[in-house]
Amino acid sequence: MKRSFTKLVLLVGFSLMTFVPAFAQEDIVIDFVHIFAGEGDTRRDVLRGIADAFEAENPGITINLSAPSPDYIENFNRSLLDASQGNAPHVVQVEEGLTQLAIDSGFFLPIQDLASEEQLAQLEGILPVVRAYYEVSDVTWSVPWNSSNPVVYYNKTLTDLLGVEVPTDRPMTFAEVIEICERITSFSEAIKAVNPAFTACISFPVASWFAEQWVAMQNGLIANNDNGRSARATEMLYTSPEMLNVGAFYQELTEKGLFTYTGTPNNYNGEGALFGGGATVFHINSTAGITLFVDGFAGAGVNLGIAPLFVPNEEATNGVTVGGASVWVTAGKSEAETQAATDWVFFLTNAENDIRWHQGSGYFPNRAESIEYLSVGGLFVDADGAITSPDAEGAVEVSWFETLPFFRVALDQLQASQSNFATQGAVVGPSNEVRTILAEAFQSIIDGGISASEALEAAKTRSDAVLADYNATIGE
Amino acid sequence: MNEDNIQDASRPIFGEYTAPLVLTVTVVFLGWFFLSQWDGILSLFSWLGSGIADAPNALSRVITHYTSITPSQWLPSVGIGALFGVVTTARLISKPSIRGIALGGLVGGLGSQFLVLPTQHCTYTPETPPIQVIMGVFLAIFGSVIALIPLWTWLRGGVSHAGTSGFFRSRTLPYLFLLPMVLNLLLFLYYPSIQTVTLSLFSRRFPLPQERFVCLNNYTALAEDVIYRNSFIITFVIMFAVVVFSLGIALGIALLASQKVRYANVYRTLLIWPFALSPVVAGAIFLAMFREGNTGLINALLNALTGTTVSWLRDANLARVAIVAAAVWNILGFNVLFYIAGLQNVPKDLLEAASIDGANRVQRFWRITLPMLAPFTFFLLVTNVTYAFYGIYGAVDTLTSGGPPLGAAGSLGGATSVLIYKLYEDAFNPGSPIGLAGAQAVILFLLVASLTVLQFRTLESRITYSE
Repeated sequence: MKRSFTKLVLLVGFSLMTFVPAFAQEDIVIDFVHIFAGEGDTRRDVLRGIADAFEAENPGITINLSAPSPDYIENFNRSLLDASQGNAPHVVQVEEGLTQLAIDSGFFLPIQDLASEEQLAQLEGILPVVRAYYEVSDVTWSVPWNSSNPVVYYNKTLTDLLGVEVPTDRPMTFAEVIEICERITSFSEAIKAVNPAFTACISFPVASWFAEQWVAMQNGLIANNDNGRSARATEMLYTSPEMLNVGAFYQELTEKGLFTYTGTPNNYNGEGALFGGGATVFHINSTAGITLFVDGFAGAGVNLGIAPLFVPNEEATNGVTVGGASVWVTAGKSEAETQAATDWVFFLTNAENDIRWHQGSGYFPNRAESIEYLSVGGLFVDADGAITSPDAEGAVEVSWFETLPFFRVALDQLQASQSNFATQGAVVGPSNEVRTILAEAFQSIIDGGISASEALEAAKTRSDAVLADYNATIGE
Repeated sequence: MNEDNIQDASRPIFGEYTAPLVLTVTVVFLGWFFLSQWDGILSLFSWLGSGIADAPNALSRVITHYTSITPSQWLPSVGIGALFGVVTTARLISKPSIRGIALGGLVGGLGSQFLVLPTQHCTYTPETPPIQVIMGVFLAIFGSVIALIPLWTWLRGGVSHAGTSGFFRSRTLPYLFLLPMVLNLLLFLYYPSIQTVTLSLFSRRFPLPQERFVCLNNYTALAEDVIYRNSFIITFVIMFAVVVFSLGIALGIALLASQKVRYANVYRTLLIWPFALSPVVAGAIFLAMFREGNTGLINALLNALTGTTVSWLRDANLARVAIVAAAVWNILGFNVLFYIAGLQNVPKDLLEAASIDGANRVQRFWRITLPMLAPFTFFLLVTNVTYAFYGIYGAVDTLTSGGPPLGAAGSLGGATSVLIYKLYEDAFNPGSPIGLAGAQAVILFLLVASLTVLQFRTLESRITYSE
């Protein structure tokens, strides 16, 4: 009896202690929600390093990094639900496709209204094609952070063996891809003898993202009202000649038996595993996976080739749109907290950390000056040419991009992009839904035997209904 | 049961210290449990507090609503409820008094507003399409029933206490004991249910706060939506396949596992473990088997043996087979467990008597074992149907994501897009129509509830429960 009572007192005491520190905290704590949640994800350490540097420069501010989920959508939903309960984080990493939804939520403040003169100048240094994505109706809402692009990965050991020449200094056209794939497929039996896993020439995620790139390359739009940039989009342009070219590519690949996929749309990891397992020779995936692919193939003793994303035809030189995410500052915080959050966003994306982030994560450097620097330096090697730390004896600084040329491929295609509405990319509120519908259109071409024009026509009908309903609920 | 028994049962184990001991342990446990979640509890109470503080506003909103619309809009619903209350009370209660019937009318009239008020009487306007008018009448009657059931119980003289073995001396104590459960039900069942029903009347895009009242349009939109109708059909097809195969295979396995063999316990344990896995894990295991290309186990095997592979997840029917297989495998252990227990309850003497009378193995199974298992089969039927409606989500999400699409660009829906999967997709994707999902949730609930009632009504009466 007496011991129970002591125990009770102890328990009450301990329990009290667990929430006392919450009251003792007087510093400004900035909650930053990001997606790098994996236990062994080294990008988390890079981010922590940047946060530590910020804290050292700004005493009294603590950066609380939290990654509730490795999924952009999950984090976005959670942040907004937290906000509705008065627990909003200060800064959220928002995927590019959620831009319009983030604006419509009223939960974020445009970064251009928060930034100081000096910080506004920092925005100017970002590659125009990257910065443009996050400008809607001439308002800059967020600062681009982790940017990526699709590139072509291929099994170089196999193409060399078959004597197939794959250009890497320029993108291949759809026609070239089909021609090369037909040649490779004619060797099917021989390939299967050495690699029984071989299924088809090419595989890539059945997703809207690549189609968006291919339409942008042809200077075509995905949504009306200048890709939703000058006014709210009311129509998806899924039956444009540019999109029909993309649909026809899927159809031809399928009819000639050159394509395979996992059966699930948007399955970036699954399709990567399919390619990595030797099922296909060519593959398209995000640059975010470069390090993973390079390491995986090196481990298997297979040469990995990286080439720019295919273009629909030779005239399609307009360039690509940026993928990835940007960082957004939330509304409804005290002035001091909003200020600290803004400072953190600009610290995270300044030139020094841009380089650090690129080198640690594989995402693009977003700033022209970072790219210039990495073209001449950024990597330290010893006398034998092995990569070493800057402090090591006899370390010599060499060009990062020249030593690791695969990082350069995707960057070149991005830098070569024109700045216009097409490469700015489409912003629509229900982007998740209309993107899913487009992926289903491709699925019905591949597995349903439906013609490209019929599938895209149906996709447009469905998507326009979704947009109409969204706009009726949210529209101004 | 007599007085002595009650005395025996309540004899304290620790003598006079029992009461303080139990009290202390309870207080320590509750203290530890609640204090460690203090933040959450605080926010819960502040939320409850704000709800209570908002009550006068809510009341004034209700009054404003009634005064802002014409009586011709709200009177019909009250009238329908009152009429329903009078008629049913008069018929259901034996020897009803005038007072009782009048009360029935009053309660029915007020109760009708439970469900009609959230719709803001939007179905009681001249412009409303006929189908929504009917739904509005149904809502009024349904609300009346909810209010009338307690009244009927009270008019019949309340719940009889005859034959019960104990009673509370204090009048408040029983209610105090009930309080936690009532709070729990209110907070986590009734409140969310009401919220869902309310949500289903709005057009809203998750997770944005903007909303627009659309009356019952979400329901009529679903009724007209070919994708939703197909989802309905697919759900029933998959449910039927899952139930038939899971019960059939489980019975077969249980019969085998009940044989007198060495290490029978080991087999039984191994047979049951798939149930310990969540449907998501079951889905992941089946994904590893059915996956496209050589990374899939089945395709690797097929490739090695025949040189060809099958695209399991890219064909509408094969994808459904994969889903059913994963779901059946997942719930099989649960069914086997109950059937093994059931088989042990089949009286041996009955079987022996039958075999002496010349019944063979097959006859004994059909005439004795199967009927004796009926209560187990019925229980499993109900749980398996529920599983096939709700629990299958994880398998669909991991295996097929509702695909492959049917028709051009999925304009006819997804081959494995069952109701619960479609509901989740429509509710929790960014920018998705969560009001529509709310309507789907209400429909799904009504569907499963009525199926369960139907099962109890039609099947349970034919089952003999052994003593």
